Amino acid sequence: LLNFLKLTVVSLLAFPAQAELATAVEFYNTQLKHYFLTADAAEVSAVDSGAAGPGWKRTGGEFSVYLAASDHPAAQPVCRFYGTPGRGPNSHFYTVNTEECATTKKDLGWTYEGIAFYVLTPAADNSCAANTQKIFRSYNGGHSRNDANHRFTADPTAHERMAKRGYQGEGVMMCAPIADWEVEADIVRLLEQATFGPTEALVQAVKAKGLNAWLDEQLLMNVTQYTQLPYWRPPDNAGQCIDDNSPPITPVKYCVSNLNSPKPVAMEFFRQAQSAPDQVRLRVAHVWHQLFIVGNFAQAYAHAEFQQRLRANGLTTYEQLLGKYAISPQLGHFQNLIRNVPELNGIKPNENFAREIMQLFTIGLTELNEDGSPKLDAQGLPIPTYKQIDVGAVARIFTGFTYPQNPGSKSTFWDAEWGFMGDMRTDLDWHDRADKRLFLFSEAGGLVFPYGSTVRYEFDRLIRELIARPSTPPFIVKQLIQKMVTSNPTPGYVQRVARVFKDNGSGQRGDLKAVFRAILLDPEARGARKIDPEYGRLREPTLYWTAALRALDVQTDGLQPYNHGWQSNMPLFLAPTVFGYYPADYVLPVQQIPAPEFGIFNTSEFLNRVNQMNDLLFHNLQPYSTAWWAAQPGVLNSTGTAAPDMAAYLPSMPDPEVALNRFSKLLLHGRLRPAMKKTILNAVNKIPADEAVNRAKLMVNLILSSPDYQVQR
Amino acid sequence: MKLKLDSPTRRRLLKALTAAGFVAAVERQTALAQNAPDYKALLTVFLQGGNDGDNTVIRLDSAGYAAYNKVRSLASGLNIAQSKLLPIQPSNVSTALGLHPSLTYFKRQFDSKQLAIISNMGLMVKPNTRDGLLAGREATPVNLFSHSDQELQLQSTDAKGNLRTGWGGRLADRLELLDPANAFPVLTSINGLKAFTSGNTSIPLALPTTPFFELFWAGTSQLTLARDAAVNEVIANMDVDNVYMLTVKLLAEEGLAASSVVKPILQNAASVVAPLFANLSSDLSRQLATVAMMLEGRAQTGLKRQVFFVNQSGYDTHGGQAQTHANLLTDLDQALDAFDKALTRLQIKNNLTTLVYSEFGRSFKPSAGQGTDHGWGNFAFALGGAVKGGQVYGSLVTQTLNGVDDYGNEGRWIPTTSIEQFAQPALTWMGVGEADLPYILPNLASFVRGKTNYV
Repeated sequence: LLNFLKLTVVSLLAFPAQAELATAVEFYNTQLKHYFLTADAAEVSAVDSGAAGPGWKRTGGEFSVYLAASDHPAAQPVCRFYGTPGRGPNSHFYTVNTEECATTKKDLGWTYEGIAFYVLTPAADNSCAANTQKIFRSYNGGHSRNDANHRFTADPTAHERMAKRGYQGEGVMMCAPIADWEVEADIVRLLEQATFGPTEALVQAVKAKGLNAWLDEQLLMNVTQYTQLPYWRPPDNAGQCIDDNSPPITPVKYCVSNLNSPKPVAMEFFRQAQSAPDQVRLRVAHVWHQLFIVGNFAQAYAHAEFQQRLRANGLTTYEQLLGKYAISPQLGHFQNLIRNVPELNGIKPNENFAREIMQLFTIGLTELNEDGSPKLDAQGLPIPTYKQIDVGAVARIFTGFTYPQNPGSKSTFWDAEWGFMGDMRTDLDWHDRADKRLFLFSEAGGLVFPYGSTVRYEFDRLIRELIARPSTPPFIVKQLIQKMVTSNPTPGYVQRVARVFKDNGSGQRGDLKAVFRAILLDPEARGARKIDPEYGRLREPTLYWTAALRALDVQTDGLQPYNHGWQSNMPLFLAPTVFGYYPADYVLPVQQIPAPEFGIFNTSEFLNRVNQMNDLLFHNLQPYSTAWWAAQPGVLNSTGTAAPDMAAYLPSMPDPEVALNRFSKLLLHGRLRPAMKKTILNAVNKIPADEAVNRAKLMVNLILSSPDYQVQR
Repeated sequence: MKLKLDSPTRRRLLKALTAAGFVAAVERQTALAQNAPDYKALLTVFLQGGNDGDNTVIRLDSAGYAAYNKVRSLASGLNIAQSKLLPIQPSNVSTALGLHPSLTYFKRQFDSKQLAIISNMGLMVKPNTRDGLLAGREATPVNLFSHSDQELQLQSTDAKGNLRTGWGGRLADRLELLDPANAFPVLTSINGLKAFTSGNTSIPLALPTTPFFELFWAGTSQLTLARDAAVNEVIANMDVDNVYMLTVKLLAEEGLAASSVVKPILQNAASVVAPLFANLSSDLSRQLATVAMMLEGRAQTGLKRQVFFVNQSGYDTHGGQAQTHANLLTDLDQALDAFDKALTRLQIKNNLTTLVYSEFGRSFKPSAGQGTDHGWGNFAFALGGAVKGGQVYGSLVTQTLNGVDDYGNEGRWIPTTSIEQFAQPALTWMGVGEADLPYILPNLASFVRGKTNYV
């Protein structure tokens, strides 16, 4: 119970001449089921230590406030009330609204306790001035049972989800100033969502430029290229493709590792993720490559060509990107589009890509509302977007494709050899020219493809028509949000981005620059503290590695990061099926909450991650030898992976707490739990102080192993 | 040695962020006999991608093979010559059958009555009729023919697609009640977490196919000791205010706790079963080798009942099927053969039953590119010393396009044996009482029992 805590009268506190912001800290009492907020540091410690009674825990919610009216010309006092003992609820209430404050003072159920802190008031349209953030209020509806309690939070997701717990949203009630730490915490989060990982230098660069300006600049940068490897024809006998581990290295001698494997491309991926300037464009391409899977071939040049396709088109329009994917010979080869022909001798057209272009790349399995929720029929059941008969019709549209012409190879429809440079060729002679009717049962409208059109006309039209259907925008944008920001976005977030997909403001559908900007600048993505219990996403193995390489400034050829991906079930560019490295629709089985990356997380993968980072940091001796990290003689461009020297952090190491705070800011948005901080400092103190590098590495190893870091939130 | 792990704590935590609905179910008492004296284990082998059952088991009688030969023609690239098939004669039906030429171990097991074939098994909301389905009076499973949905539903046994726990995980929920003090996980997956492995209260153990299930050396003993203690403490002392962090925590705790038991089992240099897999290199063979080593070390876990899950992927043979399918079945056959020898060496052949199944069969009608597309009903298999083998359970399909068993005109067979009818005998054999069966198989009551008592 809080009533014995005397509110410090804030106006009496001494302030430095330059106004400093205080942090309002939110608590929740699991027994009372009440929220409580205070910006008074002494009161925060008292509640932390149990002086306010049992059951109070921090929610993680924090936002900055002014402590004096003089701190900002428009600062307004926030009145704080406590339920009058014996009469009102055992609860606190806060308001910046003068009228509400005056009314509440007259209410015998509430006792005025003084001014809690100062903030700005929202404008009539609920907007907040520059450099301030919205504070939302929700209400537990407890007045009638004398149990009124309100929650104040800067986290719009937490606010929106309070409805599930019976709270009524009351909208924006305050505008709170944004402190330096909040700006930086938000930038770190943005860099987790939009790049291959934050570095201290990049955080400062974004801060200097401003988040929006930096993002716009990134979206317009020239895209980094993969080294384009020449067409290469594997030997007729696979046995002739061998690695001869004697120098000098030439591409022909190192056939398995360097020509017939995605390894050189994957190594380049890690090198570029580590250092390329166009981080956002490359990260966007990385998102797309997890949706647009290809496989069943090994040639390095084919992987390079394909991945560059995604990079080059990843920020154009969805129609262009999907078209470039679908017309690539890599896709045609993988999804049996190549040499798919009309019904002949009791053999029907192949349905592989016909099904997946609908199920995975456009309309999905069931009709969706704009906010991503399923549309339901009169019986309350989801409505299928297509039927088996439509798969058959699309399979007929997808007839008449073959490999591109390869240097020196035969060129006819049936003779053309495997080859992956350029787009698939079409051949009207092997196209099913009869008319096709699709979706005739569908409320979203049927489609008729009349007799006699060309292969490419029907192909292009099909893609355009599928993207035009109403389920495509929410179906696609939800997956993009999940791959960058959060696994379980609120319907409102999906809807806001889906609307941008439908119309970028200039009437264009599928403008990907606009879509990614909307994803990354949405209120659900931005903010210093994300406290909703269902917010965030598990870091996938690839990004778990790139973030470590960047934060620790590791010099690497990319080989060991690539090799470790195999151990973690994310072997780069070799997803096992068209469903990707992990199922997009995986949910936590008991809670039934979307959690795609958990499809490849388990007891073994947890130990893997601790060990992999341990391995990267210490180049330990078990079970791999240190030679494993050195340049590999059989691999082109192999220079090895250096052990991080931690040089940037050594100046902070004399005081471990200072160093730990730096790591906390860079790796945890400054949100290091007190218990974890204590554990890490205890562990570090067991290592002699003169082993500063080992101490720093131990700190990092423990942070990277923690659930707090594994989940990006 | 018995693992010490505060299992009540982990279950409480799991409940903390869970809908209240399932708690009541958890509290129900198991009807399983306590302190069962014998050891029993169930292994499921999932053939991921949709195994082409119609090229796995083929009718050898002249009418049956003629029907096959007509649709799966030479031109389709799928045809297997009658002379190449491995002939088997079920004791309970007159029809002669042929196994795919790769399945030599399967044939030996069938002939020695330790392999049962379950025919036309698949997912259903309730028993179906062709007329009812085609007229729309009867419901199909949700998103029929979609891999992701059918894999989920076969493993969850929910044709409506709502349930996300699996029948393996729910079996483990019940088996853990047998010995609540033993926190070693009842279910072990060697292929990560799938719907099958997830329970409401049990947390599946996922093991790698390497011998490394431990925290590695951190360079110096000081560092290693400090790191190990701190990792455990960071996990143990965390406030759970996020559902994803909670999930990481639960899996991390279980992994850290189990590693002390598992590590010596996987690194047992004196293993008598590991050498049996030495000549095999496939992922499936390594998964089964790991299961065999865990069985060898079962005394260390203290468990009397265990569930294992392995997965063989690659069955989505839309194109170039003949070679791919032969390779996959060869791998399956050889790996299970080695596993069988391991069971013999461990003298537990009668104590382990293996079930082999897939998310769906494939269209009988071939596709361009010498492949097949997604189907429905399919063959499944049960193997083991306790299995009443040499028989076919469930009725054989009439392989006529647009015929009585076809959901359409391309040979996607309407199942006549449900996943529940397939799973129930094995669950009963494991000791699950009647009262607990609906918890594991919620839709069991929709189907007649008794025709699939293969074990």
